[in-house]
Amino acid sequence: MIEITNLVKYYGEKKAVNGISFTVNQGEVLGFLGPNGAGKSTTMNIITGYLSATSGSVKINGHDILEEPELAKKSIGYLPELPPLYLDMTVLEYLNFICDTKGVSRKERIRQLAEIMRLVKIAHVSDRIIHNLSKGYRQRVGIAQAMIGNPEVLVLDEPTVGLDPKQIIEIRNLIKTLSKKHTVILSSHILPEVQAVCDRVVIINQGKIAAIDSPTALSHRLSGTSKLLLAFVGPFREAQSNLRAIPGVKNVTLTHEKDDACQVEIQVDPNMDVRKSVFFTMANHSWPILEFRSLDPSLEDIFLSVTNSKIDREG
Amino acid sequence: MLAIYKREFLSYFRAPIGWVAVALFALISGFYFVTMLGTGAVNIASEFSFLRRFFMVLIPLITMRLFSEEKKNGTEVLLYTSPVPMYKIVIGKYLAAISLQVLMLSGVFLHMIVLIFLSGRVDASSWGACIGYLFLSALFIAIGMMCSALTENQIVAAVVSFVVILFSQMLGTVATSAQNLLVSLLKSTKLFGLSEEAIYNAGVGISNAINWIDPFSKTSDFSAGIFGIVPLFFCLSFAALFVFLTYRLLEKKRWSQG
Repeated sequence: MIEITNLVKYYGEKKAVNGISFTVNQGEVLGFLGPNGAGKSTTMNIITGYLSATSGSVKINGHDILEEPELAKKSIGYLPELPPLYLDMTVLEYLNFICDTKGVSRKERIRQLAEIMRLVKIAHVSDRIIHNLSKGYRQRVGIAQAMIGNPEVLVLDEPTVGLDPKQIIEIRNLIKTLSKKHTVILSSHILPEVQAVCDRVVIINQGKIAAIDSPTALSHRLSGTSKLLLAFVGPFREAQSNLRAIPGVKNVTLTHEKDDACQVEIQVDPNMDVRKSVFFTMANHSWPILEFRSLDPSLEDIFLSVTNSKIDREG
Repeated sequence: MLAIYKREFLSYFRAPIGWVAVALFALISGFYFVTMLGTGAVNIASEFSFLRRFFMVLIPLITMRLFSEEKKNGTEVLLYTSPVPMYKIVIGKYLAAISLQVLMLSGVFLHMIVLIFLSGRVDASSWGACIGYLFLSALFIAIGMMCSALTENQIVAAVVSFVVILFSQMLGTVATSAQNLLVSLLKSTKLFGLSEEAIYNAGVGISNAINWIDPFSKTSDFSAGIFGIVPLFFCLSFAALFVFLTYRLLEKKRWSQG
Protein backbone atom coordinates (compact mmCIF):
# COMPACT_ATOMS: atom_id res chain seq x y z
CA MET A 1 0.00 0.00 0.00
CA ILE A 2 2.65 2.47 1.10
CA GLU A 3 6.25 1.78 0.33
CA ILE A 4 8.91 4.03 1.76
CA THR A 5 12.47 3.40 0.74
CA ASN A 6 15.56 4.96 2.18
CA LEU A 7 14.16 8.41 2.80
CA VAL A 8 16.70 11.14 3.53
CA LYS A 9 15.99 14.82 4.11
CA TYR A 10 18.61 17.40 4.91
CA TYR A 11 17.89 20.74 6.54
CA GLY A 12 21.15 22.54 5.95
CA GLU A 13 23.80 20.42 7.61
CA LYS A 14 21.29 18.57 9.74
CA LYS A 15 19.87 15.27 8.62
CA ALA A 16 16.25 15.56 9.74
CA VAL A 17 15.39 12.18 8.26
CA ASN A 18 18.13 9.65 7.88
CA GLY A 19 17.46 6.61 5.74
CA ILE A 20 13.95 5.63 6.81
CA SER A 21 12.39 2.62 5.10
CA PHE A 22 9.19 0.81 5.92
CA THR A 23 6.01 -0.45 4.32
CA VAL A 24 2.42 -0.14 5.43
CA ASN A 25 -0.04 -2.84 4.43
CA GLN A 26 -3.62 -2.33 3.42
CA GLY A 27 -5.99 -1.79 6.31
CA GLU A 28 -3.21 -1.40 8.82
CA VAL A 29 -2.91 1.30 11.47
CA LEU A 30 0.70 2.30 11.76
CA GLY A 31 1.84 4.41 14.69
CA PHE A 32 4.69 6.82 14.37
CA LEU A 33 6.24 7.36 17.73
CA GLY A 34 9.04 9.67 18.66
CA PRO A 35 10.00 12.66 20.76
CA ASN A 36 9.56 16.18 19.44
CA GLY A 37 11.98 16.90 16.64
CA ALA A 38 12.57 13.25 15.85
CA GLY A 39 11.55 13.72 12.23
CA LYS A 40 7.95 12.49 12.44
CA SER A 41 6.36 15.52 10.82
CA THR A 42 9.07 15.81 8.19
CA THR A 43 8.55 12.18 7.20
CA MET A 44 4.81 12.66 7.01
CA ASN A 45 5.23 15.82 4.97
CA ILE A 46 7.36 13.86 2.53
CA ILE A 47 4.90 10.95 2.34
CA THR A 48 2.09 13.35 1.48
CA GLY A 49 4.12 15.25 -1.09
CA TYR A 50 4.29 18.58 0.75
CA LEU A 51 8.06 18.37 0.97
CA SER A 52 10.45 16.59 -1.33
CA ALA A 53 13.02 14.21 0.05
CA THR A 54 16.71 14.75 -0.58
CA SER A 55 16.83 11.11 -1.66
CA GLY A 56 14.72 8.00 -1.40
CA SER A 57 11.25 7.26 -2.70
CA VAL A 58 7.65 7.10 -1.53
CA LYS A 59 5.12 4.96 -3.35
CA ILE A 60 1.43 5.11 -2.60
CA ASN A 61 -0.57 2.32 -4.21
CA GLY A 62 2.30 1.87 -6.64
CA HIS A 63 2.31 5.57 -7.63
CA ASP A 64 5.50 7.48 -6.90
CA ILE A 65 4.71 10.74 -5.10
CA LEU A 66 7.13 12.67 -7.33
CA GLU A 67 6.51 10.98 -10.66
CA GLU A 68 2.73 10.67 -10.49
CA PRO A 69 1.86 13.23 -7.83
CA GLU A 70 -1.80 13.64 -8.77
CA LEU A 71 -2.60 9.93 -8.63
CA ALA A 72 -0.61 9.45 -5.43
CA LYS A 73 -2.12 12.50 -3.73
CA LYS A 74 -5.62 11.40 -4.66
CA SER A 75 -5.21 8.33 -2.48
CA ILE A 76 -4.01 10.28 0.56
CA GLY A 77 -5.93 12.32 3.08
CA TYR A 78 -3.62 14.38 5.26
CA LEU A 79 -4.16 16.09 8.57
CA PRO A 80 -1.01 18.12 9.30
CA GLU A 81 0.10 19.08 12.78
CA LEU A 82 -1.77 22.37 12.48
CA PRO A 83 -5.19 21.71 10.92
CA PRO A 84 -5.11 23.58 7.59
CA LEU A 85 -8.34 25.53 7.90
CA TYR A 86 -9.53 28.69 6.22
CA LEU A 87 -10.79 30.42 9.31
CA ASP A 88 -13.03 32.85 7.42
CA MET A 89 -15.16 30.10 5.86
CA THR A 90 -18.02 28.15 7.36
CA VAL A 91 -17.47 24.43 7.91
CA LEU A 92 -19.68 23.53 4.98
CA GLU A 93 -18.08 26.05 2.62
CA TYR A 94 -14.69 24.74 3.61
CA LEU A 95 -15.57 21.09 3.09
CA ASN A 96 -17.17 21.95 -0.25
CA PHE A 97 -13.94 23.63 -1.28
CA ILE A 98 -12.01 20.47 -0.37
CA CYS A 99 -14.49 18.45 -2.45
CA ASP A 100 -13.73 20.79 -5.36
CA THR A 101 -9.98 20.36 -5.07
CA LYS A 102 -10.28 16.60 -4.77
CA GLY A 103 -12.72 16.41 -7.65
CA VAL A 104 -15.66 14.87 -5.80
CA SER A 105 -18.71 14.96 -8.06
CA ARG A 106 -21.78 16.97 -7.05
CA LYS A 107 -23.92 13.87 -6.68
CA GLU A 108 -21.39 11.99 -4.59
CA ARG A 109 -20.69 15.06 -2.48
CA ILE A 110 -23.99 15.28 -0.62
CA ARG A 111 -23.84 11.66 0.45
CA GLN A 112 -20.18 11.80 1.39
CA LEU A 113 -20.35 15.06 3.34
CA ALA A 114 -23.36 13.84 5.29
CA GLU A 115 -21.60 10.63 6.22
CA ILE A 116 -18.33 12.29 7.20
CA MET A 117 -20.02 14.99 9.25
CA ARG A 118 -22.02 12.35 11.06
CA LEU A 119 -18.90 10.31 11.74
CA VAL A 120 -16.80 13.16 13.15
CA LYS A 121 -19.85 14.78 14.76
CA ILE A 122 -19.68 18.22 13.22
CA ALA A 123 -23.07 18.27 11.48
CA HIS A 124 -24.51 20.68 14.04
CA VAL A 125 -21.74 23.24 13.51
CA SER A 126 -21.72 23.04 9.71
CA ASP A 127 -23.01 26.60 9.29
CA ARG A 128 -20.61 28.19 11.71
CA ILE A 129 -17.50 30.08 10.75
CA ILE A 130 -14.44 27.98 11.55
CA HIS A 131 -12.83 30.91 13.32
CA ASN A 132 -15.49 30.65 16.04
CA LEU A 133 -15.01 26.93 16.67
CA SER A 134 -13.12 25.48 19.60
CA LYS A 135 -9.87 23.63 19.13
CA GLY A 136 -11.52 20.23 19.40
CA TYR A 137 -14.01 21.06 16.67
CA ARG A 138 -11.32 22.53 14.46
CA GLN A 139 -9.39 19.30 14.82
CA ARG A 140 -12.47 17.36 13.76
CA VAL A 141 -13.01 19.58 10.76
CA GLY A 142 -9.37 18.84 9.93
CA ILE A 143 -10.03 15.12 10.11
CA ALA A 144 -13.19 15.52 8.03
CA GLN A 145 -11.13 17.33 5.43
CA ALA A 146 -8.69 14.42 5.25
CA MET A 147 -11.53 11.92 4.78
CA ILE A 148 -13.10 13.70 1.82
CA GLY A 149 -12.71 11.88 -1.48
CA ASN A 150 -12.56 8.59 0.38
CA PRO A 151 -8.77 8.20 0.16
CA GLU A 152 -7.31 4.75 0.84
CA VAL A 153 -4.65 6.21 3.10
CA LEU A 154 -5.10 8.63 5.98
CA VAL A 155 -2.04 10.37 7.36
CA LEU A 156 -2.74 12.02 10.70
CA ASP A 157 -0.03 14.07 12.38
CA GLU A 158 -0.63 14.16 16.13
CA PRO A 159 -4.41 14.10 15.81
CA THR A 160 -5.09 14.36 19.54
CA VAL A 161 -2.62 17.04 20.55
CA GLY A 162 -4.16 19.92 22.47
CA LEU A 163 -7.50 18.21 23.02
CA ASP A 164 -9.16 17.56 26.35
CA PRO A 165 -9.29 13.97 27.66
CA LYS A 166 -12.86 13.37 26.56
CA GLN A 167 -12.13 14.58 23.06
CA ILE A 168 -8.97 12.47 22.95
CA ILE A 169 -11.00 9.35 23.64
CA GLU A 170 -13.53 10.34 20.99
CA ILE A 171 -10.85 10.93 18.39
CA ARG A 172 -9.21 7.61 19.24
CA ASN A 173 -12.50 5.81 18.79
CA LEU A 174 -12.96 7.65 15.53
CA ILE A 175 -9.56 6.49 14.31
CA LYS A 176 -10.48 2.93 15.23
CA THR A 177 -13.65 3.25 13.19
CA LEU A 178 -11.74 4.73 10.28
CA SER A 179 -9.22 1.91 10.31
CA LYS A 180 -11.90 -0.48 9.15
CA LYS A 181 -12.00 1.21 5.75
CA HIS A 182 -8.71 3.05 5.51
CA THR A 183 -5.03 2.48 5.94
CA VAL A 184 -3.93 4.88 8.65
CA ILE A 185 -0.55 6.34 9.53
CA LEU A 186 -0.65 8.34 12.72
CA SER A 187 2.02 10.06 14.70
CA SER A 188 2.16 10.74 18.37
CA HIS A 189 4.55 11.26 21.18
CA ILE A 190 2.18 9.64 23.65
CA LEU A 191 2.76 5.92 24.11
CA PRO A 192 -0.64 4.78 25.44
CA GLU A 193 -2.32 6.47 22.51
CA VAL A 194 -0.30 4.49 20.02
CA GLN A 195 -0.80 1.32 22.02
CA ALA A 196 -4.54 1.89 22.03
CA VAL A 197 -5.08 2.13 18.28
CA CYS A 198 -2.11 0.84 16.33
CA ASP A 199 -1.37 -2.54 14.80
CA ARG A 200 2.26 -1.71 14.35
CA VAL A 201 4.55 0.95 15.74
CA VAL A 202 7.53 2.66 14.16
CA ILE A 203 9.74 4.28 16.74
CA ILE A 204 11.80 7.06 15.31
CA ASN A 205 14.57 8.96 17.01
CA GLN A 206 16.95 11.53 15.58
CA GLY A 207 15.72 10.82 12.07
CA LYS A 208 16.33 7.10 12.27
CA ILE A 209 14.07 4.16 12.88
CA ALA A 210 14.84 2.78 16.31
CA ALA A 211 12.34 -0.08 16.16
CA ILE A 212 9.39 -1.40 14.18
CA ASP A 213 7.11 -3.80 15.99
CA SER A 214 3.63 -4.44 17.28
CA PRO A 215 2.73 -2.64 20.52
CA THR A 216 2.58 -5.90 22.46
CA ALA A 217 6.00 -6.96 21.24
CA LEU A 218 7.34 -3.57 22.23
CA SER A 219 6.01 -3.79 25.74
CA HIS A 220 7.41 -7.29 25.88
CA ARG A 221 10.78 -5.86 25.02
CA LEU A 222 10.28 -3.48 27.87
CA SER A 223 9.57 -6.30 30.24
CA GLY A 224 13.09 -6.07 31.60
CA THR A 225 12.32 -2.73 33.16
CA SER A 226 9.07 -3.11 35.12
CA LYS A 227 8.82 -0.60 37.91
CA LEU A 228 6.64 0.04 40.95
CA LEU A 229 6.23 3.29 42.79
CA LEU A 230 5.83 3.17 46.54
CA ALA A 231 5.34 5.98 49.04
CA PHE A 232 5.32 5.27 52.76
CA VAL A 233 6.07 6.70 56.19
CA GLY A 234 9.20 5.18 57.66
CA PRO A 235 13.02 5.05 57.54
CA PHE A 236 14.37 4.66 54.01
CA ARG A 237 17.54 2.63 54.71
CA GLU A 238 15.79 0.01 56.76
CA ALA A 239 12.91 -0.27 54.31
CA GLN A 240 15.33 -0.55 51.41
CA SER A 241 17.14 -3.53 52.87
CA ASN A 242 13.86 -5.20 53.81
CA LEU A 243 12.40 -4.69 50.35
CA ARG A 244 15.54 -5.97 48.66
CA ALA A 245 15.17 -9.18 50.61
CA ILE A 246 11.91 -9.93 48.78
CA PRO A 247 12.49 -12.40 45.93
CA GLY A 248 11.86 -10.71 42.56
CA VAL A 249 12.91 -7.21 43.67
CA LYS A 250 15.98 -6.09 41.76
CA ASN A 251 16.65 -2.65 43.12
CA VAL A 252 15.11 0.04 45.30
CA THR A 253 15.94 3.71 44.78
CA LEU A 254 14.82 6.80 46.63
CA THR A 255 13.12 9.34 44.40
CA HIS A 256 11.67 11.77 46.92
CA GLU A 257 11.82 12.40 50.65
CA LYS A 258 9.72 14.78 52.70
CA ASP A 259 9.61 14.91 56.52
CA ASP A 260 9.35 11.26 57.50
CA ALA A 261 7.73 10.09 54.27
CA CYS A 262 9.71 8.46 51.46
CA GLN A 263 8.91 7.75 47.85
CA VAL A 264 10.86 4.94 46.22
CA GLU A 265 11.02 3.25 42.87
CA ILE A 266 11.21 -0.52 42.95
CA GLN A 267 12.63 -2.35 39.95
CA VAL A 268 11.12 -5.79 39.78
CA ASP A 269 11.36 -8.97 37.78
CA PRO A 270 8.29 -8.78 35.50
CA ASN A 271 7.76 -12.53 35.69
CA MET A 272 7.03 -12.36 39.41
CA ASP A 273 4.25 -10.48 41.18
CA VAL A 274 5.89 -8.97 44.27
CA ARG A 275 3.03 -6.65 45.24
CA LYS A 276 1.63 -8.86 48.01
CA SER A 277 5.05 -9.40 49.57
CA VAL A 278 5.76 -5.70 49.46
CA PHE A 279 2.48 -4.98 51.23
CA PHE A 280 3.09 -7.49 54.02
CA THR A 281 6.69 -6.34 54.51
CA MET A 282 5.50 -2.79 55.04
CA ALA A 283 2.62 -3.96 57.25
CA ASN A 284 4.87 -6.06 59.45
CA HIS A 285 7.05 -3.05 60.19
CA SER A 286 4.00 -0.77 60.66
CA TRP A 287 5.15 1.53 57.89
CA PRO A 288 1.92 3.01 56.51
CA ILE A 289 1.67 2.92 52.71
CA LEU A 290 0.60 6.27 51.23
CA GLU A 291 0.76 5.35 47.57
CA PHE A 292 1.45 2.16 45.68
CA ARG A 293 1.20 1.68 41.92
CA SER A 294 3.00 0.33 38.92
CA LEU A 295 4.80 2.83 36.72
CA ASP A 296 3.88 2.85 33.03
CA PRO A 297 6.94 2.71 30.87
CA SER A 298 7.54 6.15 29.45
CA LEU A 299 8.66 6.93 25.96
CA GLU A 300 12.09 7.55 27.41
CA ASP A 301 12.14 4.04 28.82
CA ILE A 302 11.28 2.67 25.42
CA PHE A 303 14.05 4.60 23.76
CA LEU A 304 16.49 3.55 26.42
CA SER A 305 15.47 -0.05 26.14
CA VAL A 306 15.40 -0.03 22.36
CA THR A 307 18.76 1.66 22.03
CA ASN A 308 20.25 -0.44 24.81
CA SER A 309 19.07 -3.69 23.32
CA LYS A 310 20.60 -2.58 20.04
CA ILE A 311 23.91 -2.06 21.72
CA ASP A 312 23.52 -5.47 23.36
CA ARG A 313 22.90 -7.13 20.04
CA GLU A 314 25.68 -5.30 18.28
CA GLY A 315 28.10 -5.77 21.16
CA MET B 1 -8.14 25.32 -10.77
CA LEU B 2 -11.68 26.64 -10.74
CA ALA B 3 -11.94 25.68 -7.06
CA ILE B 4 -8.82 27.65 -6.18
CA TYR B 5 -10.00 30.61 -8.23
CA LYS B 6 -13.45 30.63 -6.69
CA ARG B 7 -12.22 30.38 -3.12
CA GLU B 8 -9.56 33.03 -3.61
CA PHE B 9 -11.91 35.50 -5.24
CA LEU B 10 -14.64 35.04 -2.64
CA SER B 11 -12.13 35.29 0.20
CA TYR B 12 -11.38 38.87 -0.87
CA PHE B 13 -14.88 39.69 0.28
CA ARG B 14 -14.87 37.57 3.41
CA ALA B 15 -12.03 39.70 4.68
CA PRO B 16 -12.26 43.49 4.55
CA ILE B 17 -9.39 43.67 2.06
CA GLY B 18 -11.54 43.19 -1.06
CA TRP B 19 -14.03 45.83 0.03
CA VAL B 20 -11.23 48.19 0.98
CA ALA B 21 -9.56 47.80 -2.41
CA VAL B 22 -12.81 48.36 -4.30
CA ALA B 23 -13.76 51.31 -2.10
CA LEU B 24 -10.36 52.92 -2.33
CA PHE B 25 -10.35 52.61 -6.10
CA ALA B 26 -13.87 54.03 -6.31
CA LEU B 27 -12.85 56.89 -4.05
CA ILE B 28 -9.75 57.84 -6.03
CA SER B 29 -11.39 57.54 -9.43
CA GLY B 30 -14.59 59.20 -8.19
CA PHE B 31 -12.64 62.10 -6.76
CA TYR B 32 -10.89 62.68 -10.07
CA PHE B 33 -14.09 62.27 -12.06
CA VAL B 34 -16.01 64.75 -9.96
CA THR B 35 -13.19 67.26 -10.27
CA MET B 36 -13.30 66.81 -14.05
CA LEU B 37 -17.06 67.27 -14.06
CA GLY B 38 -16.55 70.53 -12.20
CA THR B 39 -14.19 71.87 -14.83
CA GLY B 40 -16.42 70.61 -17.63
CA ALA B 41 -13.63 68.77 -19.46
CA VAL B 42 -14.29 65.09 -18.88
CA ASN B 43 -11.54 62.84 -20.12
CA ILE B 44 -11.55 59.17 -19.14
CA ALA B 45 -8.02 58.69 -20.49
CA SER B 46 -6.65 61.27 -18.09
CA GLU B 47 -8.60 59.64 -15.29
CA PHE B 48 -6.80 56.38 -16.05
CA SER B 49 -3.42 58.06 -16.15
CA PHE B 50 -4.26 59.58 -12.77
CA LEU B 51 -5.21 56.13 -11.47
CA ARG B 52 -1.95 54.66 -12.73
CA ARG B 53 -0.10 56.67 -10.12
CA PHE B 54 -1.83 54.62 -7.44
CA PHE B 55 -0.69 51.25 -8.74
CA MET B 56 1.88 51.06 -5.98
CA VAL B 57 -0.86 51.21 -3.35
CA LEU B 58 -3.69 49.35 -5.07
CA ILE B 59 -1.74 46.41 -6.46
CA PRO B 60 -0.04 45.36 -3.19
CA LEU B 61 -3.46 45.56 -1.57
CA ILE B 62 -4.71 42.92 -3.99
CA THR B 63 -1.67 40.68 -4.08
CA MET B 64 -0.04 40.78 -0.65
CA ARG B 65 -2.15 38.02 0.83
CA LEU B 66 -2.19 35.59 -2.09
CA PHE B 67 0.48 33.23 -0.81
CA SER B 68 1.66 34.89 2.42
CA GLU B 69 -1.59 34.20 4.18
CA GLU B 70 -1.67 30.54 3.15
CA LYS B 71 1.82 30.13 4.47
CA LYS B 72 1.02 31.83 7.74
CA ASN B 73 -2.19 29.90 8.39
CA GLY B 74 -0.67 26.58 7.42
CA THR B 75 -3.24 26.13 4.67
CA GLU B 76 -0.51 25.88 2.05
CA VAL B 77 -0.03 22.28 3.22
CA LEU B 78 -3.61 21.66 2.21
CA LEU B 79 -3.11 23.10 -1.26
CA TYR B 80 0.20 21.45 -1.99
CA THR B 81 -0.93 18.02 -0.82
CA SER B 82 -4.20 18.24 -2.75
CA PRO B 83 -4.37 16.59 -6.17
CA VAL B 84 -4.39 20.06 -7.78
CA PRO B 85 -1.03 20.59 -9.50
CA MET B 86 1.03 23.56 -8.38
CA TYR B 87 0.78 25.49 -11.66
CA LYS B 88 -3.00 25.41 -11.46
CA ILE B 89 -2.88 26.79 -7.93
CA VAL B 90 -0.69 29.68 -9.08
CA ILE B 91 -2.81 30.45 -12.14
CA GLY B 92 -6.06 30.16 -10.19
CA LYS B 93 -4.87 32.68 -7.64
CA TYR B 94 -3.52 34.98 -10.33
CA LEU B 95 -6.83 34.99 -12.17
CA ALA B 96 -8.69 35.70 -8.92
CA ALA B 97 -6.54 38.79 -8.37
CA ILE B 98 -7.09 39.89 -11.98
CA SER B 99 -10.83 39.46 -11.49
CA LEU B 100 -10.78 41.71 -8.45
CA GLN B 101 -8.96 44.34 -10.51
CA VAL B 102 -11.61 44.10 -13.22
CA LEU B 103 -14.30 44.43 -10.59
CA MET B 104 -12.59 47.54 -9.24
CA LEU B 105 -12.60 49.00 -12.75
CA SER B 106 -16.38 48.77 -12.82
CA GLY B 107 -16.42 52.13 -11.04
CA VAL B 108 -14.81 53.70 -14.05
CA PHE B 109 -17.36 52.01 -16.33
CA LEU B 110 -19.99 53.94 -14.42
CA HIS B 111 -18.10 57.11 -15.23
CA MET B 112 -18.12 56.09 -18.89
CA ILE B 113 -21.89 55.71 -18.76
CA VAL B 114 -22.17 59.20 -17.29
CA LEU B 115 -19.95 60.41 -20.09
CA ILE B 116 -22.23 58.82 -22.69
CA PHE B 117 -25.14 60.75 -21.24
CA LEU B 118 -23.14 63.96 -21.28
CA SER B 119 -21.44 63.81 -24.64
CA GLY B 120 -23.14 60.92 -26.33
CA ARG B 121 -19.98 58.87 -26.92
CA VAL B 122 -16.92 57.29 -25.40
CA ASP B 123 -13.95 57.76 -27.71
CA ALA B 124 -11.18 55.32 -28.53
CA SER B 125 -8.71 56.97 -26.19
CA SER B 126 -10.91 56.02 -23.22
CA TRP B 127 -11.03 52.38 -24.24
CA GLY B 128 -7.35 52.45 -25.05
CA ALA B 129 -6.49 53.84 -21.64
CA CYS B 130 -8.71 51.22 -20.03
CA ILE B 131 -7.07 48.34 -21.91
CA GLY B 132 -3.63 49.77 -21.21
CA TYR B 133 -4.51 50.02 -17.53
CA LEU B 134 -5.70 46.41 -17.45
CA PHE B 135 -2.59 45.02 -19.09
CA LEU B 136 -0.34 47.06 -16.84
CA SER B 137 -2.16 45.78 -13.79
CA ALA B 138 -1.88 42.21 -15.13
CA LEU B 139 1.87 42.72 -15.15
CA PHE B 140 2.04 44.29 -11.70
CA ILE B 141 -0.29 41.74 -10.15
CA ALA B 142 2.10 39.03 -11.36
CA ILE B 143 4.97 40.88 -9.70
CA GLY B 144 2.97 41.37 -6.51
CA MET B 145 2.04 37.70 -6.44
CA MET B 146 5.68 36.73 -6.70
CA CYS B 147 6.51 39.02 -3.78
CA SER B 148 3.76 37.33 -1.80
CA ALA B 149 5.25 33.91 -2.50
CA LEU B 150 8.56 35.11 -1.08
CA THR B 151 7.43 35.65 2.49
CA GLU B 152 4.82 34.66 5.02
CA ASN B 153 4.52 38.25 6.16
CA GLN B 154 1.87 40.18 4.24
CA ILE B 155 3.39 43.53 5.18
CA VAL B 156 6.78 42.54 3.80
CA ALA B 157 5.12 41.29 0.62
CA ALA B 158 3.22 44.57 0.28
CA VAL B 159 6.29 46.72 0.89
CA VAL B 160 8.46 44.80 -1.58
CA SER B 161 5.85 45.05 -4.34
CA PHE B 162 5.31 48.72 -3.47
CA VAL B 163 9.01 49.40 -3.97
CA VAL B 164 9.18 47.43 -7.22
CA ILE B 165 6.18 49.25 -8.69
CA LEU B 166 7.45 52.62 -7.48
CA PHE B 167 10.80 51.93 -9.12
CA SER B 168 9.16 50.94 -12.40
CA GLN B 169 7.17 54.17 -12.33
CA MET B 170 10.41 56.10 -12.03
CA LEU B 171 12.12 54.25 -14.89
CA GLY B 172 11.71 57.28 -17.18
CA THR B 173 13.62 59.46 -14.73
CA VAL B 174 16.12 56.70 -14.12
CA ALA B 175 16.76 56.47 -17.87
CA THR B 176 17.47 60.20 -18.19
CA SER B 177 19.79 60.32 -15.20
CA ALA B 178 21.59 57.16 -16.33
CA GLN B 179 22.14 58.81 -19.71
CA ASN B 180 23.54 62.00 -18.14
CA LEU B 181 25.69 60.05 -15.75
CA LEU B 182 27.21 57.88 -18.47
CA VAL B 183 27.86 60.82 -20.78
CA SER B 184 29.55 62.94 -18.12
CA LEU B 185 31.53 59.95 -16.89
CA LEU B 186 32.86 59.10 -20.34
CA LYS B 187 33.63 62.77 -21.08
CA SER B 188 35.54 63.43 -17.88
CA THR B 189 37.55 60.20 -17.77
CA LYS B 190 38.16 60.02 -21.53
CA LEU B 191 37.86 56.28 -21.14
CA PHE B 192 38.19 54.27 -24.41
CA GLY B 193 39.05 57.57 -26.18
CA LEU B 194 35.58 57.91 -27.68
CA SER B 195 34.49 60.79 -29.88
CA GLU B 196 31.79 63.26 -28.75
CA GLU B 197 29.25 61.64 -31.01
CA ALA B 198 30.03 58.13 -29.81
CA ILE B 199 29.67 59.22 -26.22
CA TYR B 200 26.35 60.85 -27.00
CA ASN B 201 25.18 57.69 -28.77
CA ALA B 202 26.22 55.52 -25.83
CA GLY B 203 24.16 57.76 -23.54
CA VAL B 204 21.12 57.54 -25.76
CA GLY B 205 21.64 53.81 -26.00
CA ILE B 206 21.50 53.22 -22.28
CA SER B 207 18.53 55.53 -21.93
CA ASN B 208 16.70 53.62 -24.67
CA ALA B 209 17.57 50.31 -23.03
CA ILE B 210 16.07 51.38 -19.72
CA ASN B 211 13.06 52.93 -21.40
CA TRP B 212 12.49 49.71 -23.26
CA ILE B 213 11.60 47.92 -20.03
CA ASP B 214 9.45 50.82 -18.79
CA PRO B 215 5.91 49.44 -18.95
CA PHE B 216 4.36 52.88 -18.47
CA SER B 217 5.91 54.55 -21.49
CA LYS B 218 5.25 51.37 -23.48
CA THR B 219 1.51 51.68 -22.97
CA SER B 220 1.27 55.49 -23.08
CA ASP B 221 0.14 55.44 -26.73
CA PHE B 222 -3.02 53.66 -25.67
CA SER B 223 -4.29 56.80 -23.95
CA ALA B 224 -4.08 58.55 -27.29
CA GLY B 225 -6.27 55.87 -28.79
CA ILE B 226 -3.40 54.22 -30.66
CA PHE B 227 -3.45 50.45 -30.24
CA GLY B 228 -0.34 48.38 -30.71
CA ILE B 229 0.32 44.70 -30.35
CA VAL B 230 3.86 45.21 -29.02
CA PRO B 231 2.92 46.80 -25.66
CA LEU B 232 0.26 44.15 -25.04
CA PHE B 233 2.72 41.41 -25.87
CA PHE B 234 5.28 43.11 -23.65
CA CYS B 235 2.94 43.23 -20.63
CA LEU B 236 1.64 39.71 -21.15
CA SER B 237 5.05 38.15 -21.57
CA PHE B 238 6.41 39.87 -18.47
CA ALA B 239 3.29 38.86 -16.54
CA ALA B 240 3.78 35.28 -17.70
CA LEU B 241 7.41 35.45 -16.65
CA PHE B 242 6.52 36.52 -13.11
CA VAL B 243 3.72 33.96 -12.83
CA PHE B 244 6.24 31.34 -13.88
CA LEU B 245 8.78 32.65 -11.34
CA THR B 246 6.12 32.38 -8.62
CA TYR B 247 5.55 28.79 -9.60
CA ARG B 248 9.27 28.04 -9.53
CA LEU B 249 9.68 29.76 -6.15
CA LEU B 250 6.99 27.61 -4.60
CA GLU B 251 8.39 24.44 -6.16
CA LYS B 252 11.84 25.35 -4.94
CA LYS B 253 10.59 25.68 -1.39
CA ARG B 254 9.54 22.05 -1.37
CA TRP B 255 13.02 21.00 -2.34
CA SER B 256 14.90 23.44 -0.18
CA GLN B 257 17.01 22.15 2.62
CA GLY B 258 17.30 25.35 4.58
